[in-house]
Amino acid sequence: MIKFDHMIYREIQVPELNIPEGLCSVFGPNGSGKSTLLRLIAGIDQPDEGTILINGNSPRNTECGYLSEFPDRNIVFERVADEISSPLKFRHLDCNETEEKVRGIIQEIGITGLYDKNVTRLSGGEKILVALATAISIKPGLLVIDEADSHLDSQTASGVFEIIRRLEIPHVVFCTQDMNRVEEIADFAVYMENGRVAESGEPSSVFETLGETCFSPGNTES
Amino acid sequence: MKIECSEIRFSRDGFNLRADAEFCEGLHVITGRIGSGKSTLASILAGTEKPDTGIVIKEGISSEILSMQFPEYHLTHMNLDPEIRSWGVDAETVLGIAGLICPEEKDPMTLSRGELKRLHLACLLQKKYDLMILDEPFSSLDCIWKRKFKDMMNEIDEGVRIIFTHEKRVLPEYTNLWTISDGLLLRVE
Repeated sequence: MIKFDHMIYREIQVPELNIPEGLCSVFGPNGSGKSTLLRLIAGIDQPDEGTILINGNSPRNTECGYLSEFPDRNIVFERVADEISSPLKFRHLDCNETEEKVRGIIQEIGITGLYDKNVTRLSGGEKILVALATAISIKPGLLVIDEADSHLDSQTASGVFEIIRRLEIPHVVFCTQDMNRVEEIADFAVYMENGRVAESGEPSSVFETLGETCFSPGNTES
Repeated sequence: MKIECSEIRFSRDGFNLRADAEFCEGLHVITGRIGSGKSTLASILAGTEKPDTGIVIKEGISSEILSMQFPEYHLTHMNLDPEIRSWGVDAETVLGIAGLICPEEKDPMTLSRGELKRLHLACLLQKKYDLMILDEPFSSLDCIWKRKFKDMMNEIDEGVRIIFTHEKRVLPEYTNLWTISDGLLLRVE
């Protein structure tokens, strides 16, 4: 469980929020505080007041994979294989075991063709897939993904979330502008407005409250 | 007024792109999966990338813009006011169009990505171009702004406008629909 207790950070206020294990989607208008909430959950930013606990631990004591909404901010190394293997190398994992794990991950994500490529020459979507492969290489207990699907075509994004589901990471918190995706795959939904959690719960109940707004699935096109 | 790709061929790291097409005045939507070559073709059309063979021919085009997928690449200033003025447009008007209520001295990189995209598009749409090449303009926009941007694009009735996108649900009215599949550009409609 991710528990927010009287949490305040800059313009974000979350008096109480309990996110159960599984896939949690955070959605809402641009500038509503989604990315900041995700950074707080990942431990990149820390609350000014109150607490956030993940299974009783602070975010900075939780093994976390994080994908920024700015794809270039995820990248440290030039070569794809070096980037993906970096979390394992930083943990001094055996070289052969590292190589084996990296090969397995890129096969699972479907980016074997990118292995030796220069990250700076990849498309935006490919950069996201490399960042995801890097984040899951350590099998984190928490995976935080900030609107990665806005850089991916629908088919690729669906494939990515299928992989994430298969990995059985205890907590996955992702931000998206695709409400159909929230409805299809999320176990829990958080709708934000003006730095506050306006609605939270099972996606069906959250969408019922949002009614005919474009933040409900099926109303996006009109 | 038109832009033409004549026997464009581009290869890099095992990826091959082929394009033979003519984009007349109107709005053209080009779709394709990630890594299919959309951004590469956008760069070739804009002249920021050179094809291995073939040429891009522009007729009657005296002003053009390439809107890159990542709005952060367009930033040239550390504050909103000089950033917006660098486009030669009025800061107050742009902030109003972009729906941004924030001090003009704010660092644009402290905006959310969606807000930054709105700022970029609002600057861009304040001006007139004979050729607009927009790479993933809907990326990061929420549903409200996708609709607004679609409406704003529908109001433009001059010039050649080419949108590269994987967005399928919210699209402006287009003249032609194209797709890039396995590195080959094809007209669908």
